[in-house]
Amino acid sequence: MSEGGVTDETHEAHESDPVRRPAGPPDDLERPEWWATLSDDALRDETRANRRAEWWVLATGLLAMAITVALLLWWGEPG
Amino acid sequence: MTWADAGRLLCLTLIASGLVPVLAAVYQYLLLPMHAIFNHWGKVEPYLPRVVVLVPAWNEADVLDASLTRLMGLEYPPDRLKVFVVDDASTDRTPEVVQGLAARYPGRIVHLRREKGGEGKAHTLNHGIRIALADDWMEAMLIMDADVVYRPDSLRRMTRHLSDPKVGAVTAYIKEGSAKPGPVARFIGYEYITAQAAARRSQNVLGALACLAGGAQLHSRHNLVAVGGGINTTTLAEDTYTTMLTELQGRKVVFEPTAVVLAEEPDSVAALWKQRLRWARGNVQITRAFRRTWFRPYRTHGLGSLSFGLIWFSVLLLPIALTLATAGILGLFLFDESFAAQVFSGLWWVGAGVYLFITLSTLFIDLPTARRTWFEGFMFPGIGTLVVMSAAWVPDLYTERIPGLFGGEVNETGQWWMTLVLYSWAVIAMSIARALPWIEKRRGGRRVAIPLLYLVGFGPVLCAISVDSFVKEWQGAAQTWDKTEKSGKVVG
Repeated sequence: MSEGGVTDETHEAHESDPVRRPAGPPDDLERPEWWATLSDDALRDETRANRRAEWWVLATGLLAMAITVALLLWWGEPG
Repeated sequence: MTWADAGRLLCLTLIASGLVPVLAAVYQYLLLPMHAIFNHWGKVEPYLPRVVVLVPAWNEADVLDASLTRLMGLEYPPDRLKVFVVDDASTDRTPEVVQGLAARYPGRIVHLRREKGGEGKAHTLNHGIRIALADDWMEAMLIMDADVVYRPDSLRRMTRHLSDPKVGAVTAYIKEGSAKPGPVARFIGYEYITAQAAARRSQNVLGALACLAGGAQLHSRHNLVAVGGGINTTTLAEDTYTTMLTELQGRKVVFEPTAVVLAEEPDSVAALWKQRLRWARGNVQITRAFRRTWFRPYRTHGLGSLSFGLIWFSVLLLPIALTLATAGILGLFLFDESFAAQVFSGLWWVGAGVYLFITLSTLFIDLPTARRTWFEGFMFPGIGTLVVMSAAWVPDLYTERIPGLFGGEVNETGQWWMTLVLYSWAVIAMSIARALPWIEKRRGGRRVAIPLLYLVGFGPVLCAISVDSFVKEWQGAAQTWDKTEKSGKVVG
């Protein structure tokens, strides 16, 4: 568990190890339960999951644009 | 160029001014999906600093038990979390409630009593900040409102951003969280998706955040000290002031969309008006206070960028832009009716596209809230505006087609008046909106005010409040801290 006082050295260490992957949750824990244990691996996994889930925003933006264009074309020009 | 040509050109310029906020809104919504790529998560590490949670409280006995109990249940190391409740000389049972909780959670909840209260939220916060900074235990401070409820995972999702030393402050996603929200609260629920989940993600991409939500602002100790060890007391938007000061000093402010905080919001037009007038006046004050920042790009922050300035002023000056555009189309109507009809139709074609794109994008990014507020989302511009859009789409819809269904027709005078109303609807809607709080306060007035709210729309109500804020600031009206009444109906 990381306490206060993160240093620049900490950041450099992780920047030099960009492909580091946290281990998965133990068999008896769901992912959110594992995250709540607050271990470093669990918290890293939570961040990765949040980051991955953000692609939903990109997908929905494109979907909204596609629906809008389709509806405008279907309705046609004013007049 | 003839006088008529010059008049047409002037009218078109006025109309174009109304398009600027529309384009700014589209720009924000085009930035929004980019948050999947340009976000701060790639720079964070697990980080659980010692946090003091600061809760300003004036007569909050009804809501404190729920919010503080939920704080004690946060998935955060208990030995790194302390809560300071600054009781601003409350006259209700607030002291007893807080002391009871302090006894239940010894050493974790602290009751700080101010004997002289009523000076405003910033003074109350500063009392707690002074005490917290006097001790070196605290590494970060979370400033919240007394009524908000934090989801168990929210705080740790905020603190991780402070592992990046370039970050000074972090804010969360505040959602309307009433168990059974009424119409006004549902409008706010939808509005918060646009103003927070969407707009703040876009601002993350831009690298300039407009405001740390008052109910969820996490500061590093370093940031608190750097902004002067306290909150500015001269403005009604103290949270925005702190946000901008932080960014001007070169530290980042980050919005964390997955840290969710639930809040009870006003459920009457009058209460909404009171709350938003304070916010809108605060924004006018901020615009003045940071006047040397706007449209002056600088390397260390994004507040001076053209895009951020465009977004800020589009929101601030939206009612003025709409009024100018209305004047432009009415002027054009006097010069050349058929040209005015073409411009009107083209404008609303753009408007309809923007309305669909923004409404759909907004509803998609927060589906649980969308399930509660989708109807208010589609009604956000108001039924009147939807009628105007349909009239722009099918020009003879209300003059020939619908009357034709009933075997009638609208004569020329009637058509002239209908056109005038359609062209001026933006200003008419704001004028009706201005009367809503007054109507609501009459006996049985709510039964009239709520349907009128759906007719004029929530957007025009916010515009009318902005106009009121300009007037109040111009008049130099007294700067009072009008607390929004809360009853503790938030559910987790």
